[in-house]
Amino acid sequence: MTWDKLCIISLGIGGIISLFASKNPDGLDRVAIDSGFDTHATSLFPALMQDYVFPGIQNPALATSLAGIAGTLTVFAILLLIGKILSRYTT
Amino acid sequence: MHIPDGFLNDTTNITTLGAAGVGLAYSARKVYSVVVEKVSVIKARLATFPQTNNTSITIQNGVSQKGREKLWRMATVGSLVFAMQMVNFSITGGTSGHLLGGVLASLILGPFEAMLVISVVLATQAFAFGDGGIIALGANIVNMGIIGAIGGYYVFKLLANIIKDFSMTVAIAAWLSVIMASIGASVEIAVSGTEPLSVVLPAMLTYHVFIGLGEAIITVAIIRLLRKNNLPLAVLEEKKV
Repeated sequence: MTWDKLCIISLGIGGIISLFASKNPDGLDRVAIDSGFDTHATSLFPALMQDYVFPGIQNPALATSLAGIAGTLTVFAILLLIGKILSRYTT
Repeated sequence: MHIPDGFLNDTTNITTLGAAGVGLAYSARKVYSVVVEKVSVIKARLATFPQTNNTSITIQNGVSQKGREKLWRMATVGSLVFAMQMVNFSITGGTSGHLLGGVLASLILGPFEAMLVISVVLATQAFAFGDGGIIALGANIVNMGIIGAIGGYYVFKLLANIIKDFSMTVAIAAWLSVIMASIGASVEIAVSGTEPLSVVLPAMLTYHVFIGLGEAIITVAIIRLLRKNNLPLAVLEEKKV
């Protein structure tokens, strides 16, 4: 296995394995619900892929899968972009 | 463990945003110094009479070959951590948890590279997926980037002096990183006046003791997979020098 293959594995996890994720609230959400401060949660604006649902897709599994792939690629692209900017800072 | 907006007060949000900013600036400087080094650049000119010296060698800063590899690795590990964070696993009591990836990323990349990577993952989740608050992004970076990744890395280094078995050390450091991050989140929620520490801390620890076990299992599994395939880990490279 190489680093390139790890990228493919990441896409597989984000696009396929993510469909089998538990829908239960995570540790912090559970504590917030039990203590009753979950109602404090606000959001400044609705995100494009709120709750990991790709917009405009009717099939919920496909919407999650596409959101996972989009997110995985976005993180990859942003980090590469930061690398590009860092390497521009040459004197 | 992504804190949404509304759980923290202004003072806590501003303080943690400041801390995250300092952490990011420091990490970026550290990564820059690793990735960029002085390289000689040979410029060839067309030979022009009567000038005989038609090449010039200048020394300037540029990304080294190792640096370029490191930047690609950072992007790869970032996408892996993002994907893994989507996969919530069930623990007791109708609750789930997911990998934070702080120790995983820092063992592969080094603590400051990992801090940057985790921050990019958190920012993407906050802005594109509404997972974790925008104003609370500072607190989340403090908990999972500074405490989880940088803190987790140095916990590993400390433990490595005491424990001989590599995988066991990885497991305990991964578990502790989740516990430490959950303590961080608890304190931020408590000082914001949302819920007293005497309530939120024991509750958070109850769940994160188990979520940490998941973190330990996944981190050890991935690290073992990488080592089996001879992919270099920053934490082991450092030892050789």
